[in-house]
Amino acid sequence: MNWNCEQASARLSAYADGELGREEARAMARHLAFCGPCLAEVRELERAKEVLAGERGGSLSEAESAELEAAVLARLSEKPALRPRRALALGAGLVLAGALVFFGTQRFPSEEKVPMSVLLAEHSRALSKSAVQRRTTLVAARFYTENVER
Amino acid sequence: MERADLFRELLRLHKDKTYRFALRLAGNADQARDLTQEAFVRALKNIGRYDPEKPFEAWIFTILSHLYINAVSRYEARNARSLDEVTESGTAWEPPAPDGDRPDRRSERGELRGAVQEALNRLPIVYRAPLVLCDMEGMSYEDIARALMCPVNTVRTRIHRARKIFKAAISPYWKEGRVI
Repeated sequence: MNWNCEQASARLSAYADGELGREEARAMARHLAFCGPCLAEVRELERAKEVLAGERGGSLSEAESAELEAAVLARLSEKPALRPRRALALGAGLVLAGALVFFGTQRFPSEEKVPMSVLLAEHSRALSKSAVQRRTTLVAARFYTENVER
Repeated sequence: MERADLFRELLRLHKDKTYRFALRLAGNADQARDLTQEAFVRALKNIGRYDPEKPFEAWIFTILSHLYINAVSRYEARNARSLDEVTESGTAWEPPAPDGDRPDRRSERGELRGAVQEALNRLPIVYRAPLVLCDMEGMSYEDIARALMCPVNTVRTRIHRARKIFKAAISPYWKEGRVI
């Protein structure tokens, strides 16, 4: 396929990002081989991309990281305040739930009881990913598995 | 591992990337820290819904984007104006003053860094988010589409338009073919 400038210009950024399919990338390369203006445009888009990549920025400082962690964990451990009627309803619900458990109708596994086969499967799938995503997969799988098994 | 330990691990792995994205969306460090904290609280409260097969960044960046867009919508409603208008010159709304506008900060940082953030601030949110995720965080169009919950072709179009506007904004800093 041979492109004109109008067809090529809409795809210049995707070409610079390596996001064109094989056939489109070939068509673009053929067009750029003979079109100075489009070639100049893609060079400038690549330069803009480099400028942004160079200004990526760093990390949170140790103090900021500690502050973030403390704030997030504190909020996660907060329990919402209950209105009196809701508290009464909750209390009644807890009594009922306790009765059900007592008579052996517990339905949901503890989130700590993750079958070894599931963890091993997650582990092997995780090996194909980046180091960060592998670690995330292993950590988050503990929470996700509970929902999958319901 | 205790639940809190697992949360700490997820924070350790993803806090910096999340904060950087928040900083580019909000344009200043204070708002970025607030956004980051809120995004992690929501993500970790709902961690059971996260599919470990998908990139975690896509999950938390979705939350972060929604938080920021909701905050902007509330600002628009209070101030009766749209913050997403793109003028013919390619400039958009005037956000809360970024760190670069403070005289003491500008003296500490290079001109280019300030120009980059100002140029990003001029982009509508729907352009700024995919451009930042692509060029600053190196995400693929597919992952960006997942994070921002839009089609890949939309990501492609928005990145192209955003990059052209951004390029025009920082072109005064290009002299003799080099970025100063």
